[in-house]
Amino acid sequence: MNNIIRKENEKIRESYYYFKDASGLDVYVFPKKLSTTYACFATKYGSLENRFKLDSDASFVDVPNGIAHFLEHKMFENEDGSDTFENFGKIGASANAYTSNDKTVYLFSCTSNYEKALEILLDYVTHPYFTDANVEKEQGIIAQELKMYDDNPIIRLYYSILELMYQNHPIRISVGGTVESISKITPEVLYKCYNTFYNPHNMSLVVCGDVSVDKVAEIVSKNVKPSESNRIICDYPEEPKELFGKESKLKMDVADKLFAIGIKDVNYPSEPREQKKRSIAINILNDLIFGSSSALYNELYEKGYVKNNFSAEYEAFKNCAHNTVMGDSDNPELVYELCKKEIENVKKKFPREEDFRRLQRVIYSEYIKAFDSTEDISNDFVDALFFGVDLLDIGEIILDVDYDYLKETFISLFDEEYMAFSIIEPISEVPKNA
Amino acid sequence: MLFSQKEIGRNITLNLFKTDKFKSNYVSINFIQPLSRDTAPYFALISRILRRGCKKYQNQMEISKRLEELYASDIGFKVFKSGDLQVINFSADMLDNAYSVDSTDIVGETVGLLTDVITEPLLNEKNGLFLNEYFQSEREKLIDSIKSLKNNKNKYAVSNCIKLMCADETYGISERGTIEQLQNIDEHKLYECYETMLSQSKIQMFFVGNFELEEIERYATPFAERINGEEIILPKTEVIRKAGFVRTYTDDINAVQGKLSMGFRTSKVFSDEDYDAFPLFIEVFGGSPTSKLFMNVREKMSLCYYCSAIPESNKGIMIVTAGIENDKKTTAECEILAQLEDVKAGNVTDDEINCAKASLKNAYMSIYDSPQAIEGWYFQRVLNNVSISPADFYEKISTLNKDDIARVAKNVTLDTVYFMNGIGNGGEDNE
Repeated sequence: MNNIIRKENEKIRESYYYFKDASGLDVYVFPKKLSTTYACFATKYGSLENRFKLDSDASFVDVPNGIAHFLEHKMFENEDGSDTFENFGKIGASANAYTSNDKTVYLFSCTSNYEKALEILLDYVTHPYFTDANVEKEQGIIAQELKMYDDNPIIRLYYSILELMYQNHPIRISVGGTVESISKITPEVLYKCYNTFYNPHNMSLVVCGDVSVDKVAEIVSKNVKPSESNRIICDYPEEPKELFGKESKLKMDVADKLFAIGIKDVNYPSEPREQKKRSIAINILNDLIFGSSSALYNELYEKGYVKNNFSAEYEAFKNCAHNTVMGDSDNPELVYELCKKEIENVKKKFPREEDFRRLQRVIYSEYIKAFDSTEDISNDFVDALFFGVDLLDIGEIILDVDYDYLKETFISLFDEEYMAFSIIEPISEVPKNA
Repeated sequence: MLFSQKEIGRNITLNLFKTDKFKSNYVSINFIQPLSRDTAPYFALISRILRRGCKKYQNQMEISKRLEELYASDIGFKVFKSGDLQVINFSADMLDNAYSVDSTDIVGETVGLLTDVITEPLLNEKNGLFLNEYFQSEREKLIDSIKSLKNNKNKYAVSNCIKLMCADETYGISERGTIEQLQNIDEHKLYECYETMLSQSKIQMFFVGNFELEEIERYATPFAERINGEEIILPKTEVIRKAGFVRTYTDDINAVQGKLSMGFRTSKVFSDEDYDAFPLFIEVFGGSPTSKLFMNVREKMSLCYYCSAIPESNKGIMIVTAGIENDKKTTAECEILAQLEDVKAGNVTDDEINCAKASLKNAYMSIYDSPQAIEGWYFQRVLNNVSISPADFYEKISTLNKDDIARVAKNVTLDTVYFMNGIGNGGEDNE
């Protein structure tokens, strides 16, 4: 009999149920009176975990880049030859999955039959099936996917800036790996990764919609087998503070120059709630300095220094974080200078408290609005959970940020020594049409 | 949850979808004009200029700050085409008043701001035209956005295919105009087009959320009075029911991957009486991960990462799109056509149909979970005079069988093949 706990936040009128299944799996059920039920079955395993061992193993193993993503693709294959998408399709559910730096998530959404969909989800993810033939076939498909990304200037720009900011950290490597690195993947190494990371003790299930907790508990206990808890130790390389490089340039078939400014967060704390609070403060700073109501953005836009795109985003993971500003411009170097100048201005004259409060209200309002979507709730819940905080507590953390904290955070992040700059510019010669 | 309509003024229809299950409300105001080479760039430019400032909030920064104060409300502007019509769309998305911690009337104030932006633009006092500074700046940006379409190779391929296929038809006109046209905009004509937009468009307003009909009438009536619109009749979209001979085009592009786009005439539009079989056909053929295209061109033959069929059911066309290796072009083309022949011959299993129906049911029922999706659904229906709900529409589909699908498929004919040949390695590093 599971010990089911209920957690509530009255202010935002939301609540969820939690229990730990006998298998070790953490289960979260989020009741919501919407048509769509959305579920995420997630493992704390992404592209960053490329050197690891179990407590019981003698030594660390290194795995090829892109393997977590490859594994995600292969999960959909079943030993009985049935197609997973078809299995979901027959009962009217829509399935998908994604791999990121720090997690792999298998999900479905449906407007009826969630019980059956949940059974299928738990079943296919707990039954890996990797063979030489099916690994080879997937290499073809993923190679095309990687090539599609290679043609995407935003993705290329993003990795250019990561490569400048980080010397050793695997965050600088594309989640999908390369055509070359995935050619080294074998069924054996896939099983090694699976058996290490797809242990229920390392996983969570989130179900959001008009569902019954007891029904979910019953389905989980029938479909997820108990397994021994075995501590996973991941080895991450030493990452020095210093950047790998300050500037880079790449030519691609784009209409205009695209640029990215990266600021490495060398003062990123290690405690989750602190990390979250810092993230929120930096989002507010990004809105104040680069956002649509900021003096800088309006100057850049009105004078035509940026064309149609200009935005800042802070990304934070377990042990690294960075802030990026990306956009398009005829004169990226000028935009970079103006951004640096504005940062100096802010150092001398920090924005007024009333501006901070207005943007704090914006972040709080956006947090509330996200609860209108079972998809957003489920994905945001997994994000918060794996990060180490509770989704229902984030509202409080937002309101906990005060003016002094904001100032301190600004000073500790916006340092030119840790800024890098990358450009993508049009190729000079355009091939003639056939 | 109910859908209701009311006419006000001579050219405005209010559409209300009443629901209290969201924390947010959504409002859109759509000005509908015939798509014309002569006016398309003007209308596209007007919507961008209006967002720069109005009499009360004279620049973007002021508008942004005001939206932030209104609990992160958002206003949006877009221009798109629906068949041979151009739609200039303004929208607003705001938290419900229940979440206001002071006494801010979030909804009233946001709708008021949206109508001010549309009807009280900031004008040059001397000549009564749009501010030259805003005009020049937005024209630059619109030209840039046309140029940057090629950054997304997938979308670029589909867009080029449509342009080629419908080169001699109204639908082939770009809803943003051409760069050359934009470089030659006449500022007087620009303001005249704005007045035309206000008083000579068919206007469809949508409200999704916790509203009553009397309430939205209260918002819309002053708006209708300012607009003082005339009654207007919109042209019907030209639908070519059958393709002539197949036209083929190729372009070389600097990319790693080739893009294949195949344009078909479907002979089916929203307003056809037996339209309901068409979405089922699309789903079976190339709509979902259980479709013929996904299961064969991608899974069985490993030719691509994506291969899907994209319909446009105001115009009656469909584009099949796939990213493939250059040397696989003929193989992919043949396989896509072979799958279509299969459907025409009735080679569709019960499993394939059931999966498609279930997937469509899921898609239609999910519409009820998003205010924007609700507005999008009803907008297309209202435009075509078929105000059926997603649930009722699915009921019709659930009774269909493979003969209905084959009947629709038989009228699908290949019109144009467009291939973007990927040459080069996608980028050259320059240290």
